Amino acid sequence: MKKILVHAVLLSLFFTNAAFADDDPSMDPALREKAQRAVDGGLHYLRINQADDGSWSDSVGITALGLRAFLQSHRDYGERDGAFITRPIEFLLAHINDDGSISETNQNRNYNTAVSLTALAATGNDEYDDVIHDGQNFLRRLQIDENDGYESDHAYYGGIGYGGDERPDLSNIHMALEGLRATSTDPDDPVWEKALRFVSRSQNRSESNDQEWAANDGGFTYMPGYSPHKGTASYGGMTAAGLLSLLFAGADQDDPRVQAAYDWIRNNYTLEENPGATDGVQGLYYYYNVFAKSLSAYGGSVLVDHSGSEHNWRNDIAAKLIGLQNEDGSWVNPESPRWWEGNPHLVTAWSVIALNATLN
Amino acid sequence: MTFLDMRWMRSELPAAFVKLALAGVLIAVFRLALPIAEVPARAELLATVYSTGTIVALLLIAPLHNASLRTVLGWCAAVATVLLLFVILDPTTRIVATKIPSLVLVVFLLSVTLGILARRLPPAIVIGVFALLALLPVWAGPMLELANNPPWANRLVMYASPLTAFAAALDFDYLRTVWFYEYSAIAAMRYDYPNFLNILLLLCVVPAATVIRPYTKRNSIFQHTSEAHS
Repeated sequence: MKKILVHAVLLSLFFTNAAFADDDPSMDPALREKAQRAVDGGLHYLRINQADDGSWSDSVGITALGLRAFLQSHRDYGERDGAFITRPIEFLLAHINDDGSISETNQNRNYNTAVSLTALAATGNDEYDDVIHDGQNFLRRLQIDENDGYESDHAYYGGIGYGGDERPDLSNIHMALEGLRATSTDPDDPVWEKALRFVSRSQNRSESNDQEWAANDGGFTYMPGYSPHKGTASYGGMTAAGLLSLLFAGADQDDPRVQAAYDWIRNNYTLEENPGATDGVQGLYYYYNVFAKSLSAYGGSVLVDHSGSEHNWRNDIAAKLIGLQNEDGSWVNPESPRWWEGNPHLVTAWSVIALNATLN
Repeated sequence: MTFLDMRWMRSELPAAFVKLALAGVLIAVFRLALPIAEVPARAELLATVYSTGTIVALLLIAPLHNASLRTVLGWCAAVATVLLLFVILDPTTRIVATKIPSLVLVVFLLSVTLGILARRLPPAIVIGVFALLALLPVWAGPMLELANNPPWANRLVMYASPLTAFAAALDFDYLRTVWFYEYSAIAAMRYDYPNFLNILLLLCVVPAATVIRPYTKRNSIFQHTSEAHS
């Protein structure tokens, strides 16, 4: 009996290891050093391309991402380090609107406000608490619910969109949830439960998605019933965003939706392309960014793909981004400018944030 | 002639009802034909699509190249009335109430502009160009994407599309609505809508140029008003 028990324990340990294989949380030391140098190169590029007012590309969103790249880097930059940190903060604060949003345009108020909240939270300065509080309320008001005439059985319910219209999508809501989570919103806030409904309705998992189109690969599409790549097919960028959204909204690792998303990532593991996307190149850096953040939030460093091969995702992402970095320290998507990936300020900020996620 | 003059009412009232009914039917057709009918969408979306559709329909139904200013104003009043009815009857569209004047102003200026152009060019060409410009964000999108979205070209597309006028009036991002997001590459690029005042100024160019030109009998769009006032 004792022998059977020992075998059972050993067997369960084997399977646990095979599935999660998270016994090695660290990066390869030589690669870590190279990744830190790549981060330094990216930050140098951002610094010399910063406008006098502290912004990048005259955009609140890109400025907030650039600021976050600095604040969360291994250099541990903060406001004490000078104008290259304080000016972008001032730029964000200069674009606060009466409704609490932080944006220079009506079109991207959710993205801009959400990434601004994340960046302001990263400063650790409580002087921005009121700004953050107003921004949180703005994001909450953007969420589609009964107040907008939508009942809980509607596919849009609980979603958040760009802010200039009302169409919600998974990309926007994952940014909003990241901003809300970074600013420590009440875990009992109804915003999370509503968000979970929308996020679940974007997943190809018919057990938890009541939409007719839902398939069962566990991946995510852009919004209920639509993918910009093909039909309602799952793809890498959105599946990583979906996994991150589930975790931000309060689902844990044991949640079957989380497991299904993680399994999709394991089954489609690649950094050569954005799996499932048009030509594999559209939204590639968005994929790297959210892929790194989602796996970091999920935990563990090693995952096992469908063929049984183990991957230290931290090493893989770092090596990939180091290989793609331009000589001037920047990154840009030369094959597809769609979703602003032709903008080196944005793509560099995303890449540094991804590297920060692998290093932290 | 006073407002209560029976002769005026006898001559104008049937025409007003016809305009109202047609505007109502058009808006109903748009509402039923588009998938937004299944979504309790914000009034901005409805109004944008409806107003745009209405103005195109105005061109198709009313021979604007022969229309008087009074006729155009009558159509605008009909559009305003139908939008107002929507606001009254549909609670989800109430937020658009304050925007009806801006919308109707855009409808009016576009109608006058197109009417003037239709007098100098074959109306079919004017209608065709209008439709092409309305869908500019769709067919020019891939070219913009290929050229990495140069800001000047992006601004040109945004200014040239008549839909921008409605979007600016409503402060509504129509390019991110489901259909345009699917079919217009611009929705995935960086863009901004022009200021509403700039749009109004742009829409005033053709009417203003016509007004400041020496008055001729060919200016039939203003002729009836002039006669009515004399």
